[in-house]
Amino acid sequence: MNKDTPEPDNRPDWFGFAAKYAAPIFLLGLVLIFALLQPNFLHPLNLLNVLRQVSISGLIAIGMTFVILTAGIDLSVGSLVALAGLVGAYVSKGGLDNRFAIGAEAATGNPVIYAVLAAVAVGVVGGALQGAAITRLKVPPFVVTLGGLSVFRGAALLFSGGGPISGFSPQYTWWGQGRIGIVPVPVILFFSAAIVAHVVLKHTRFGLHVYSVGGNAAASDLNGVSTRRVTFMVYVIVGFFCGLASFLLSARLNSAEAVAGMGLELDVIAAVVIGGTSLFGGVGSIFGTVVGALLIGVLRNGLVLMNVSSFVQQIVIGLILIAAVAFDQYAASRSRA
Amino acid sequence: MSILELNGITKNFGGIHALAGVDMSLERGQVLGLMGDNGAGKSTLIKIIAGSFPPTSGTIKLNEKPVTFGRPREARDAGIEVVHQDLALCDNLTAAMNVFLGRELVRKVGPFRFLNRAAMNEQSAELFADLKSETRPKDLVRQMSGGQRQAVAIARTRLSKPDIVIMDEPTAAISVRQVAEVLDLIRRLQDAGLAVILISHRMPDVFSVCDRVVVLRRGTKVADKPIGETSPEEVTGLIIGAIEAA
Amino acid sequence: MSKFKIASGIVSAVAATLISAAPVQAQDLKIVTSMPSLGFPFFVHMQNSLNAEAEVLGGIEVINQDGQNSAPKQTAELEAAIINQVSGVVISPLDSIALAPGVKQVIDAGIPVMTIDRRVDGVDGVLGHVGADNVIGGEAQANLIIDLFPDGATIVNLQGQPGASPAIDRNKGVHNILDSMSDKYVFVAEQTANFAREEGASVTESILAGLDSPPDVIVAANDDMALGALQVTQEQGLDIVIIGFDALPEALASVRDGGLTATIEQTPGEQSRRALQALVDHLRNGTTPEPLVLLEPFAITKDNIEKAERLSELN
Repeated sequence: MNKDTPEPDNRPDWFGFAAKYAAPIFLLGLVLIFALLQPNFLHPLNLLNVLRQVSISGLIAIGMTFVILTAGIDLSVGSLVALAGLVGAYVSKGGLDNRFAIGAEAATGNPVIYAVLAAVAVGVVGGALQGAAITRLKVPPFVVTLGGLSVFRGAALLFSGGGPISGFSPQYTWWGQGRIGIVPVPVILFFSAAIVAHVVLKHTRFGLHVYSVGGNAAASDLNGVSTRRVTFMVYVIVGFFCGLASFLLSARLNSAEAVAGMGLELDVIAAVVIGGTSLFGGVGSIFGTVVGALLIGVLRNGLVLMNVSSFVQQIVIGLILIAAVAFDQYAASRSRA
Repeated sequence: MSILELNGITKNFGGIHALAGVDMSLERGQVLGLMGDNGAGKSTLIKIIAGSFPPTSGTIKLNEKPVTFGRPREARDAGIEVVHQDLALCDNLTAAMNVFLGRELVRKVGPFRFLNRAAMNEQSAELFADLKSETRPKDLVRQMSGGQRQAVAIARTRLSKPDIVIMDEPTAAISVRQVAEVLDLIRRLQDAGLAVILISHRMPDVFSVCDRVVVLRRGTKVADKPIGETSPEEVTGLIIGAIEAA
Repeated sequence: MSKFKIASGIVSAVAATLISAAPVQAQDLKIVTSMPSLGFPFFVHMQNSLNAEAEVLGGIEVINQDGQNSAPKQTAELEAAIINQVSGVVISPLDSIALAPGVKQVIDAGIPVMTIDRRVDGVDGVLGHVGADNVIGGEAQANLIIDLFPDGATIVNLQGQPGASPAIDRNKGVHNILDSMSDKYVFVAEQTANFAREEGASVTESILAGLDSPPDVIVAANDDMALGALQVTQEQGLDIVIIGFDALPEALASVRDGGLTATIEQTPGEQSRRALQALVDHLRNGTTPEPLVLLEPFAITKDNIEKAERLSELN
C-alpha cells in the first residue's frame, strides 16, 4: 500500500494465467491421463455417469459458492439434505403409512410437484433460520451451521423414526433416473442452475454485493449495501439448493433416508475450494465450482475404473484439496507483491 | 451564504461529554481543516454531520434549512459525502465497481435488471479523468497504489454531485509523492465549487490546502480562524493546550 | 529440474505399480466385490474372504470396491463396473433400497449380480442372495438371555446407529422375542451408541449412573459397543452379562477370556464364499444357483467358541 504506482507490465503473465486456470488445466490433464491409461474412461456412457454423479453435490456446491464468497461456510448441508428429502418423500407418499411400498401403491399420494415444493421449502426455511441466526444473533457461520448439522440430522431422524421412506412413483424417480435424449435429468438441472447462478453472481446488483460483502463487509455497509440482507440471502440460496438436491437424490436412489448425505458437506466444500473460491471470501466463480465438482468426480471415477483402492482415493482427493488452497495462497501472495 | 451551519452541537455517551456546544459554519468552495488530538471530538463531530448518529442537542442546517439524519444514507442523499479513513474499498473489486458500489447502474431486460458494467466503466473513467488520476476503471483495487485508492474513494463522492465532502485522514498512510496527489484532488474538488472538511494530523497538508482551520480540544472548539491569520506553531499550541484559545 | 525428476519418478513408479497389478496368468473372469464401507472390520473380513475364495477358485481377477458409507458412491462404483464390462458382481449393499437402482443398472447391462449379507429390494433378476438375517441375529441374542435368565431379567439395550438397517433389524429381533414376555424381561434403558466403542462406554456409564440397581444384561447391536460397555462394567467392578454382535476377533478373545458373555456369529466369510462359488459356477457352467440362501446366525459363548469363523485370527 505504501508503494508508488507500479509501471504497467506488458510481458505475458504466464503465472497469472496458470493461477487463474489451474483447476481447468488440471481437469483436462486428468481427463487425458485417464483416457490414456483406461480407454473405457472416454466411453460416452461413462462420461454421462460422471456428470450425473457430480450433479447432486454440484448443485449444493453452487449454493455453497455464494456462501463462501461472503466468507461464510455452511457445514449443515448434508443434514439439511436428509431432512428435506424425507419431508419431500413424506409429501409424495401422502404420509408414513405406506412408507416402504414399491410398485403400484407407490403411485398413490401427492403429485411430484408437491414433493419438490416441500423439499425446497424445508431447504429454504432451514437456510433462512441459519441466516437469521448468523445476521441477527451474530453467531459465526461456522458455529451456527455446525449446530445446524446436528439439529437437522436429529430432526430427520425424529421425523422418520430413524428409518427410510422409499418406493416412489415413476414420475418421481424420473427426476433422478430419467434422461432427456441421452442426458440424465440431474445433469441438465445442474448445468441450468450453474448458468443462472453465474448470471446472478456476475451480472446483478445482488451478485456484486455478494462479492463486496466477502471482500470488505464494513466498507460495503458504509456504501449502502445491506450486508445483513446479502448474508441472510446466501444461506437461503444454499438451503434452496439443498432442497432441490435432496429431491434429486431421493429420486435417484428411490429412497429418502435420515442417514443420507453424511459427510456431504466435505465433498461440497472441496468442490468449491478446488474450483478456486477463497475461503476468505470475495474471490471465486461458479465456473470454478463446476470445474471443481467435475474434477472430484473424474478423479474418483478414473481411480475406480483403474481399480485403485478406495483408501488411496481418499488420500489423493485430500492432497489435491490442500494443493489447490496452497496454490491459491501462493498466487494471491504473488499478485499482492 | 453558508452551506453548512452547526449550532450548539453537544454529544454525550453515557456520562462522557464528547462534544460540548460546538458551533461551526462552512461555505461553498471552502476547504476547512479540522484538527485536534485523539479524543478531542473530531470523529464524533464528523459522524454527526455524516448521519451516523444524531447529536444529543444542537441543530444542523444545510443550505439554511434544518435537517436531521437517522442514517448515513440520508446524509448522503442530502449532499454530504464521506471519504472514510480506511477508504471503505473492496480490494477484490475493480475501481469502477467500487465507485458505484451501492449505487450500481442497471439495464432492464424484461423483468430483470442486470449490471451495466460498460456504463459504469465509462463514467468512472470520466471521473478519474476529471480528477487527473491515472486510475483505470477495470483494475482491481488490490493492485493499486495508495494515491490511486484515494482517487477511487474520492471519485465515489462525485457520483451524487454533493455539496460537502468530508475527508477523514486521507494522507495518514501514504507516501510523500502520493500526498501531493491527494492534495491536488482536494483542490480540484474546491475548484468544482464544493465545500471540503479535511481532518488531518499533518500540519503541512492543512496549511497548504485549507482556507480555514478549526481546532477542537476536549469537546469544545478552541479556535476557528482563516489560515492566513495563524501559524503551525499556534495551532500546535492550541491542540495540546499550551494555548488556551485563539 | 530436480522437481521435474521427482515428478517423473513418481509417474513411472505409479505406472510400474499399475502394470504389475495387471494379471499374470490367464484369467477368464473379472469380478467386482462391492462393500458398503471398508471402514468397518466386518466388511474388510468379508472382502478378504471373497479374495481368498477367488484365489482358491483360480482364474479370477478381483476388483475390490468400497462404497465409503455412501449410497451415491457405491452406486457410482457400480456404474464404473458396467463401463469396465466385468463378468459379475458380488455386492453387499449399504442400503437395501437406495442401492436398488444401481444394482438394476448392472443387471440391465447383462452382468449377473449376487448379493451377500443384505439384499436389494424390488429388483428382478438378481442371480441370488446369500445372507444371514439380522433380525434372526437379534432373536438369537434374546433367546440367549432367556436361556441365561429363565426367571426374567432387567436389560439395557445399546442400539446401533439410528437409521442404519442392521441397527433397526437387530433391535427388532431382540424385541420380537422379549416384548411378548414383557412382565419378566424389562428394558430398563434403551439408547443408541452409534455402533462406536467410545459411545458404548460413555452411554453405559450414564445409564448405570441413572439406575438404582445394575441391570442383569447389557445387549449391544455390535461388538464395539459391547466392548465399550465391558470396559465400564469392569472399571466399576460390576458383573453383568454382556452380549455383542458380529463375532469380531477382539470380541471372541473377550468371550474366551471371560469378558463378554457372548457375541453373534453371522458367518460373513461363509456367506462370501458361497456367493462367489455360486456366481463363478453360473459364469463358467451356466448353473442357476438357489435364489435365496439364509445362514442362521447363532450365539457364540465360551462353550462353542470353536464354531466362530474368525477364531483363527486370534493369536
